[in-house]
Amino acid sequence: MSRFVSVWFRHLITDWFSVRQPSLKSKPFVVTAPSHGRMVITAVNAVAASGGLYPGMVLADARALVPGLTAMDHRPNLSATLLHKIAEWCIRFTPCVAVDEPDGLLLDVTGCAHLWHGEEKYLATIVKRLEERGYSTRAGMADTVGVAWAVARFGKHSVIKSGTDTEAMWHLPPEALRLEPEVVERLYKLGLRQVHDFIGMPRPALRRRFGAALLLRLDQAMGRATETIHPVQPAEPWQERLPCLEPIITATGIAIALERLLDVLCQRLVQSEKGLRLARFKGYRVDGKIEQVEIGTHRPSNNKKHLCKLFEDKLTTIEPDLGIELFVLEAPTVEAHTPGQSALWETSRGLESIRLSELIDRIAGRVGADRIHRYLPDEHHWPERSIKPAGSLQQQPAIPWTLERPRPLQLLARPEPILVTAPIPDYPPMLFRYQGHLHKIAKADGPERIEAEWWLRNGEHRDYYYVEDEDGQRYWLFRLGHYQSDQPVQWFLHGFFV
Amino acid sequence: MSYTELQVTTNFSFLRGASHPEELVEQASMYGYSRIAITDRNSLAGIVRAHVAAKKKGLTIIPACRLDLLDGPSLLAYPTDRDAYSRLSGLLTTGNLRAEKGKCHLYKKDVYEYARGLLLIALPPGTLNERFEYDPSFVKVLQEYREAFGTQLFLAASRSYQGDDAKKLYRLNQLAKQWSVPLVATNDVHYHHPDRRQLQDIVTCVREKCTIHTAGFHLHPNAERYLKPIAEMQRLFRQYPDAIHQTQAVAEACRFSLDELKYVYPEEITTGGRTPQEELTMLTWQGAQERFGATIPEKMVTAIQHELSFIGEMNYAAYFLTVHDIVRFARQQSILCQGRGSAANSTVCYCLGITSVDPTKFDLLFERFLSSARNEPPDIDVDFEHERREEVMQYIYRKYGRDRAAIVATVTQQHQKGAIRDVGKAMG
Amino acid sequence: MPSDKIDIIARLRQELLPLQGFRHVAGNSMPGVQLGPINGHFPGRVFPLGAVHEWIGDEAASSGFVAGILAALMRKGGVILWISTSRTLFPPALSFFGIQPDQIIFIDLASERELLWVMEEALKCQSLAAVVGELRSLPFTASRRLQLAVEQSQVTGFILRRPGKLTTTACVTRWKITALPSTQEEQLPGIGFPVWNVELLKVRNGRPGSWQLTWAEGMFREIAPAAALPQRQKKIV
Repeated sequence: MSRFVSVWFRHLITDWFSVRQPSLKSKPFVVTAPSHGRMVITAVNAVAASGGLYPGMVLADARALVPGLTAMDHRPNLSATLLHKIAEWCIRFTPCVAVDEPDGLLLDVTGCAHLWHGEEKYLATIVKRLEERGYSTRAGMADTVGVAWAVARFGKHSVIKSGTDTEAMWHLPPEALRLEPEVVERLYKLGLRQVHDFIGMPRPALRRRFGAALLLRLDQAMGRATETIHPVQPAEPWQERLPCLEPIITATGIAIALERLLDVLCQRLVQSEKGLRLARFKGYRVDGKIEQVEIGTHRPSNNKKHLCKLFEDKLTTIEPDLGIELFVLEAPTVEAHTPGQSALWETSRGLESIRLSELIDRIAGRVGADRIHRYLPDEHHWPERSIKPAGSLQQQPAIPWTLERPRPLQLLARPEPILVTAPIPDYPPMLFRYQGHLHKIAKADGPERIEAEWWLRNGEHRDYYYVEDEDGQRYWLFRLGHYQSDQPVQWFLHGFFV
Repeated sequence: MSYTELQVTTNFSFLRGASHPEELVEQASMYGYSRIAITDRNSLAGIVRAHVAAKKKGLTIIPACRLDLLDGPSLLAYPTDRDAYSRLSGLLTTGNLRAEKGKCHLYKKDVYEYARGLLLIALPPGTLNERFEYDPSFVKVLQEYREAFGTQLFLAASRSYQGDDAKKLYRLNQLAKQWSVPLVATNDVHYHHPDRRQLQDIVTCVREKCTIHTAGFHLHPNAERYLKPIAEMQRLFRQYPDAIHQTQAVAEACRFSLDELKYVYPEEITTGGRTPQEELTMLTWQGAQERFGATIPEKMVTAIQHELSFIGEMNYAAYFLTVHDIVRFARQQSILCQGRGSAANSTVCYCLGITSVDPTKFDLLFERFLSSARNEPPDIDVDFEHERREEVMQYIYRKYGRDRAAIVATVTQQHQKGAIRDVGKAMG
Repeated sequence: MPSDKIDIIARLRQELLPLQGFRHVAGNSMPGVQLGPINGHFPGRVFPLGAVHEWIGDEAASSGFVAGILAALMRKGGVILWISTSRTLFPPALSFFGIQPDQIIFIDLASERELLWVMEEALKCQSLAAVVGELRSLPFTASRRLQLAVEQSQVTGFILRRPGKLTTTACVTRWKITALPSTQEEQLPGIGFPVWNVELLKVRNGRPGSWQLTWAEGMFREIAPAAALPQRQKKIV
């Protein structure tokens, strides 16, 4: 059986103004917007409402009724934005929170209440916490969205015991069914002032007189028609939640929470033969902020010990401030991971080794994954492009490594300009000066002429020479382009051979 | 000291060379070459156009080819005389017949069989091994070649600008001395000018069915395989001047010219010792009687006589006989066929059964044939029933030998539309 | 000395080695590192595995010499971690030593403090064939930690010293590699096989020495010292 909570903010807009400007709270004030040349009220606070003001009134009339009335400018979209923000904050009570325009929220709370020791306490906590944030709140809880909505706005008891939805609706007015005003008006005209007055009428008669919408609303309230809600955050299938009645403020507490969540999540992963590649540990703070840390793995893992270790370094960055009341662990990226695989990796010494990938995960967690590089051969003659970063720890070369032409063991990221003496046009150099030292070349190979890859970039070719100076040091030099008598020749040192 | 470029790949090596034979000839002439060889891969297809272009420029083309073997290093083959040329053609035919259309499967032993009168240049591998030596397997085959070809064998040396040219030339020179195989300089020319590198790369992509971004090592690292000035070749081989000299020795030994092939036409085509012209005359009148009955209209007689004398004057009889023979075969096999083209617009073709357009009904068109045929060889296209075209081709191969037919049949040229599409593909 | 006493001393020596940081890998599963005449200078005549070695001298030359040793350690599969703060190593060149460059994982860090942490963690990971770290300075305590790590895991560590202050370390060996003119058959133009002057400056329980080695056709070979070696300017490492 599902359970839903409907939250109703009676003065959503004005409460927001009061939170930002507490002095407004005790004064009558309204929010107004221009309409056909007049200022019309769009929202009233509790004090103003008790003075007989209501939305739709012209401001001038209102002023006559309530002297000293404060009027604030209407802000478009404010209610939608507010509801969305409050909905996200409410994720601490359940993962599934939806906005219910224009002034409410809907929460799917199935299976949530026991953590708060029962539904009464759970609902009371929700209302209390929202009131603490400055919002005058009514809430209802029932088996269906429809009844929860109704009791939040019209009911006497806020928690309707499971299975008693129909009785709960019995004495509520027709507008509790979320009907169009015209339909409500028609019902009243016919003397149908409570739901039980018409709930037993023949369906065709109801449809004929009041339209299909009435039947749908009745069915939804009675649980005969399903109603889906659209949560502000999509449901994460690999997610575990740990609400805390007492906010957690210590590092030990945070570590214990993580461990518990990992425990459950890893168990689920193992059962489904899956492992996670990415995990996020979130702490919902009392003040509404969310603290989070993230870890990645190089291969799917459901090894609790390993994942715990990866998080360890990062937990210190979580700032509990006044306390964390909800911990969430989610794994947005999950891949197949069979027990056979891990057995294989356990014994392997190569890139498949699970211990290696755990080491790499740890290093990545500590210094950043962007510090870890592995290279594969790429089919380019241009030296800088002859390798490319591997996409993963396991990605295999698509072509074999070849070394048909000598390549230096150390290659400078930027070739360094040097001065060279060489016979023209393309004979190997005789002398070069590098870092203030003159090198006499004793042996040389070259030129190895490599053209710029015209489809990637324009530019002159390089004539590479593999040279050895009289000391026996070996270098890779190149001249950019052809020798031309009318232009200075550019030489570069690009690498060092063993 | 002069130099002859002995290794030139034209665009007739399908999707390998990036310049037309004419462009290569033009460039060679500009650089003052008096001769160049054309060495397409397992094909003599490029030499005709090169020859025609060369005659205009006063250059000599050495007809030759590169033999890519399935079981050994490639050889460049140069016929020294007409008989050797026939043998080289025979060798290629043998290879063509073994392989699917457009391919040529040759083995070392084939070359040994047809080698008389050929000069052969062995092409070494592109890289040295980790001991800075040519792979022992190459050295072994080189020995084998030396035994088989004796003094007809040479060893190619090229400066590829891949870093180890000095080492390679040193090693090649060692091998040359050790096995008495003279070193010959070549530049392994693939295009007439370095600017053709981009086209060369695109052509490579089309050949390898990849894009320029995935072509990788199929592409050459540099643009050095162009026809270089003679002085530049001399500079590059300054330490091995003999290799330059040797190109002249090879060139001078190749006395064969395509001009010698001028009137060679299948001989078995006539019957009873008649000349082709006599045979054609006989067949045409026979056909005329079949077409028009015993009394041939006056107008037709005049036309036939007129055409026959023109054909005789231009020496085209054999050509008409060939087409006639093919069509006759098709008719016998009940293969549908229909001729068209400039020469098909003739009464002779109607009489021979090549076309079925009755010249009495249409005022023919022979003048058109005449005017066009004076400027270019006669052209008769015969369309065969698509499904049975292969049978006709097999007949032609059987009768005329595959090399003669193959020259026409297997030169697949890239046509503009397809070429543009392929370039598009290559650029990804 | 009676023979039984000699035996006892020999046995005690053997037992002492592990305590001093030398341990033979069980079952001798590791292919040996063939360093020709140098092997005779190591305790037990084998290149010490499960130890940390320190290399000074020419950068490219010592990296190359180490690559030759790594190739032997990787022969049975296995991955190398190469850790640096200023890496110029160009992976394709490792093919020259028969190493598959994709079997190397590079960790490029911002500080030597991070480097030491990563190196220590890596040296504890038995799945690695070896760990190489390029370092400017190596405080004694840090070197001691690295040595302790390998004594547990039996992974072999290589410290390539980059220009910096040279101090005493707990490494089992210290080597100095200097490039010498390449060798090839006479007349062959260009550059031949690389040659190095290899000095084993320090080796625990072994004998220091100096040799000239080349790398040709996939292995180290000793070459006879040339009659007159070119004098090199002493470089401060």
